[in-house]
Amino acid sequence: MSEESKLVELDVEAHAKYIKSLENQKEETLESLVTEHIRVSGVYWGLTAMHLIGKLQDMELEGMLEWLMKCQGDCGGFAGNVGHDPHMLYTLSAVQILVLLDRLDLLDVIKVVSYVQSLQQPDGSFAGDRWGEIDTRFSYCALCCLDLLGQLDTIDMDKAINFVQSCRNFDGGYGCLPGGESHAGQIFCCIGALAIGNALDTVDKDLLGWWLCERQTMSGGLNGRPEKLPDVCYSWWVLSSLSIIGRIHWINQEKLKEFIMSCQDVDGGISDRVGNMVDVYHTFFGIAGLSLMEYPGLAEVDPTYALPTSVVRRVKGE
Amino acid sequence: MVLHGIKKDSMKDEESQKALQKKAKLYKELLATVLGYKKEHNYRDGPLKHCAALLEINPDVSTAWNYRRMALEARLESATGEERIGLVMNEFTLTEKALQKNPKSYCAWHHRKWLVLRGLSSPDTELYLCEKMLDFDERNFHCWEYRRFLAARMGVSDQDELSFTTKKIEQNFSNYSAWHQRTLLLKRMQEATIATAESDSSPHTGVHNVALSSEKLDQEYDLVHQAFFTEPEDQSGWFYYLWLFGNTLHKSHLENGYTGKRVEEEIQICREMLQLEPSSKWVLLALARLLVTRGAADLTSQAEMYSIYEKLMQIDPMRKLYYMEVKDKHIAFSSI
Repeated sequence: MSEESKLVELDVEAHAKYIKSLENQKEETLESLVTEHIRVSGVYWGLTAMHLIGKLQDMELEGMLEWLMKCQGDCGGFAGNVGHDPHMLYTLSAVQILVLLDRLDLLDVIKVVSYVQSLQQPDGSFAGDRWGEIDTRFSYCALCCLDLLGQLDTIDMDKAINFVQSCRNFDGGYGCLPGGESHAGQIFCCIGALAIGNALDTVDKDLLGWWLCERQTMSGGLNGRPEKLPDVCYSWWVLSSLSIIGRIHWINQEKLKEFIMSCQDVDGGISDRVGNMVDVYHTFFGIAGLSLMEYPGLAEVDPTYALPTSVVRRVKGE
Repeated sequence: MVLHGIKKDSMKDEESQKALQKKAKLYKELLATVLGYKKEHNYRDGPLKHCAALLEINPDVSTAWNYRRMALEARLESATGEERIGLVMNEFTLTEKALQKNPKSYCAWHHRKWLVLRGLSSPDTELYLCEKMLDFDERNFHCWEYRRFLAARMGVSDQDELSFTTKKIEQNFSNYSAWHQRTLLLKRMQEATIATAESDSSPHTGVHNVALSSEKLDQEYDLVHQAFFTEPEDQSGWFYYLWLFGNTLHKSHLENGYTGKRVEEEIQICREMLQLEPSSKWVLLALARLLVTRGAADLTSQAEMYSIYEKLMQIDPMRKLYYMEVKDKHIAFSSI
């Protein structure tokens, strides 16, 4: 296959090889080291990507699971890596990994639930950890995590949803906090949270859908907010939001697919934009975006839980 | 922190590789050391310096910032005078360095906020940091958020903050963040002027049943007109314009005739702009939406609206399916 023709199709073999190569990488390169503290999320991105391209069986899971459980703190939350402090972000990623691999048997569910519960604030928002940073990302993490564990009734859902709704802006989008500027990443978190809470009726879907489809730039790629550069990861944040509100057809899917393809590296992996260095985060979100657009050969991904649909069905007993 | 924006072949030469390896080794040692100090609850000056060195390389290691807060909590309990000042100054210096390295570091901003919440900084110092950071990047939403936090804490008036957004917008009409901030302030100021309990607007639902007054709307229309007369392709002002229109459609304005008058004026303005730039996407979209408000019975307007959407499908084909669907939905503006 010539170098050029590789770029117009998803090079599944190369990406599988790339993700597999990250597995046993000792923390020696600077790139690996500076992301060491978020490794749990990195593993979630890598494994879910492998599932979507049908290569999960290539991964070495037992050793990874052993390491993962060492990342859990006494409080029940998971840290991004051994020796680091627990945080909502990695607690979600850990639960997503365990759900993906159908290994919830390893988890003390009560402990995790109590950690998440403890982070809910009087106004319904969630802190990221005991240091009190509030952000709608953490609302999503909390709701997604608990829903995957079937424990949504352990928190105050009405207040949680009210808080998310209070973050709605003039343009139909959502920010980190009430009054925070609309941003595609935050929009995904809020729309995901509202979907989980069955509260999408307060979303102005036509207005938000329009704001989201305006993220598509001349290159076909999507940006995160007006006047910004396109980035492959918005293929997820924007697209999943559009999918949840039933307006995924409002972006030009052919041009977006072309953009994602052009961000592939011939040696495997996907980068934020053409010509840049690849990483597992952009690799996952590029693949997940393609899955949302029903790219042939990819497993279906659930836009709310950012997990394969088959996995979500299994967990929810459908 | 994931690696955004790094060119693929930027570090392949031998010299760069050697430098990277050296840095990697240093980072690995620093990280292990700091995590060790944390485990031992070692909060002395030396360890704090190591921690600072780590965060200067990578401002996003949240555990390292946690360690610093634990250290401060422990030491500030008994520290006095010079030691106290020194400890606090180190945090300011470090957060500033961290924010220079990564102006969007959630951890660094949060640490700074934590210092303020503990009464360890002066509002003037913080506002100055905010202004400096916004001068560097007027779209830094962390900084805008921080500014809102400071303004609330310091009791800065909405009017003063509104003037700040005017300043930013006049510097650059393409400042979506400033326009966004404006919507918050104007909404809040309007809600504050409503004396009666008639308005069932809840500040926390994001929906206002209270609209801006016609005087305020006139001022805002004037401001946004300046924006799109200067640069019709700048999208920020247009998003704001559509929000103004949502306000204009409020029942109080429908009743007192303001809406009707304003719709006609804006249609006229759009038509004039189209004479100069017949294929301006934003003007066409605005005009289509304005025509919808004339009502379904106005068949001429509806026909024109449809033909505008047909044109939009050609000049902005990326969003063809949006235009195709929305022309039948008779969407004007939202009431958010």
